[in-house]
Amino acid sequence: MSGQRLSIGVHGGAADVLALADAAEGEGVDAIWVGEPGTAHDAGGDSYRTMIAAAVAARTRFIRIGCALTFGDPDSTLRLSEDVAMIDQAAAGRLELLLVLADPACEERAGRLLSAWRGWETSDGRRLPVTPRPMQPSLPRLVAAREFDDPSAARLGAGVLAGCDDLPARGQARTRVERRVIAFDVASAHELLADGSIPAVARMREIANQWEADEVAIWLHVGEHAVADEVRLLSRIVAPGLAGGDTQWEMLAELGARAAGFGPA
Amino acid sequence: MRGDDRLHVGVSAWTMQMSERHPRHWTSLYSALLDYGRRAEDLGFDSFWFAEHHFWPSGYCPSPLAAAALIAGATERIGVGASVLLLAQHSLARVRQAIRAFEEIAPGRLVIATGLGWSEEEFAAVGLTVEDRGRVVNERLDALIADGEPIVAGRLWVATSATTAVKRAASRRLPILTSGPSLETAREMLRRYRELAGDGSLPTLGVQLDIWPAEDKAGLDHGRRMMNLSWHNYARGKLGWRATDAQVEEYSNWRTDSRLLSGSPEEVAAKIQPYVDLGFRAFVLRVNYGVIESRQRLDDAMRLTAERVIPSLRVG
Repeated sequence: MSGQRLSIGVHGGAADVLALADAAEGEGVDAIWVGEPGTAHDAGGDSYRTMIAAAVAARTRFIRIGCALTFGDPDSTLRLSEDVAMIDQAAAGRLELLLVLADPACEERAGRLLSAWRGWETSDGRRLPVTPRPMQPSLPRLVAAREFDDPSAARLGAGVLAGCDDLPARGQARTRVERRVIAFDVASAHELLADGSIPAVARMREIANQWEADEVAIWLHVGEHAVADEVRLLSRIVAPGLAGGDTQWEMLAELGARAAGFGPA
Repeated sequence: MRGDDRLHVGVSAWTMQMSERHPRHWTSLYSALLDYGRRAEDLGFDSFWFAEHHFWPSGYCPSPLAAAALIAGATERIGVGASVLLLAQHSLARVRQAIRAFEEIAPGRLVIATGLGWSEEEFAAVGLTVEDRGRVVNERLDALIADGEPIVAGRLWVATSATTAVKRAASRRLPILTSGPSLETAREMLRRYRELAGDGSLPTLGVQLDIWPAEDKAGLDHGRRMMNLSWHNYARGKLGWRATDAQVEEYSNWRTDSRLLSGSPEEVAAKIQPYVDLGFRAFVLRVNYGVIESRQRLDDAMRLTAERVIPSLRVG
């Protein structure tokens, strides 16, 4: 992998995701998420999320677009594969998938989606060409899991996204999966700053480094602050800490927060 | 841009196809799509439409809903439509989810014209047969109406090319979008609709027409050739992939001759005007016939339609 990356999601509706995308594009955030690794806040469904991901693809040029799929509708796997391919083409290869798999049936549907472009098999044994195909030769995919040694990720050729609260305080993944992403839930970037951003970011760095994470994914809650302001602040205080060096990041984070209008001038 | 604001005028039908004659990266086709969506909005069109088919080697748009979401994300005002959405081939859950997403990202802008579809393999891929399609579409329309989905209020249309579809629409008091009819057929569709729908105010009734305005012979020849080529592709699907070249040519010429309204912008307007006079108030004007050989020619056709065809139309 090419260094630790920062991605941001939001616990909110479609309008919040579009605001997130617009702000992330302007702030140089690596990726945004449509949907989330759990389903507690998300009753939208896969086609709800693919429509939003399409809108995000059309209004951005640089950020990568992560789209969560739960495969809860057994009758839409083929249609989802078509959505996914069209969005990846429209986004010029910026789409990633977050596979949130509740049971083996969902994993089976995920496997069918990922292999759809080799031909869609009908019940009478015909194989039909699913077109267009995605732009990327292999769609980047993560499985939402509670540990990095997740067997379904290995079966699907996926990386793993795990919540920081699910991982043990001390430990290491036994196997090297395609990609490791650690998810953090942040109530508000403003609160993070109020509590002292440097210790909080230092803690994120420590956890990410301990687990050799390739990416830090932060899900924000929609609250009193505008999503754009939250993203602006979050990216400026967190991104420097993921740059790989032990020095300068604290100073850069403080400078970034000040430049964004937070903290003493 | 219009002579009368009571007309709704959209432009269609984007399919993002390449062809053997014009191989392209799909990424370039989707990039161009966004330009066309913005251009249509700038020109003042009310809506921008996609068609749907599956398993075509050309990449024929398989997901008009996702395509419409792309344009919704790239524009501010213009309506985005699926004509037709093959409703039997999309689960009800999927349609509901898509509608909900559009109501959040582009409130009031999604329009769906539901259709049946004809390809046996498309139905087989989702575990249905062609014989199932009417029943399934009826069930799904009734479910959307029963749910009170916001789109039902004037933005859920029934595409009609047969009187059974008119009955489907009229019995539910949904608007029709009748595709490429002769004047006689269009008159009969409206008569049947009004007869079946009974008393009371009727929804806005729509028609999709294949047009090509151009200012010179080269432009007119280009439009006719594009439409003819699109029917070549369609013929392979309709007649079977092993149809002879002669059969394909005959089918393509017949469809082009019977449907294309071409000429100078004023001549095209004169050919559309009788449909206005019949009572149609929503027009989906097709100027994109699939494979785009010349972006300049297509842009010219869109511009001439917006600036000279539509303003020439008169209501009442």
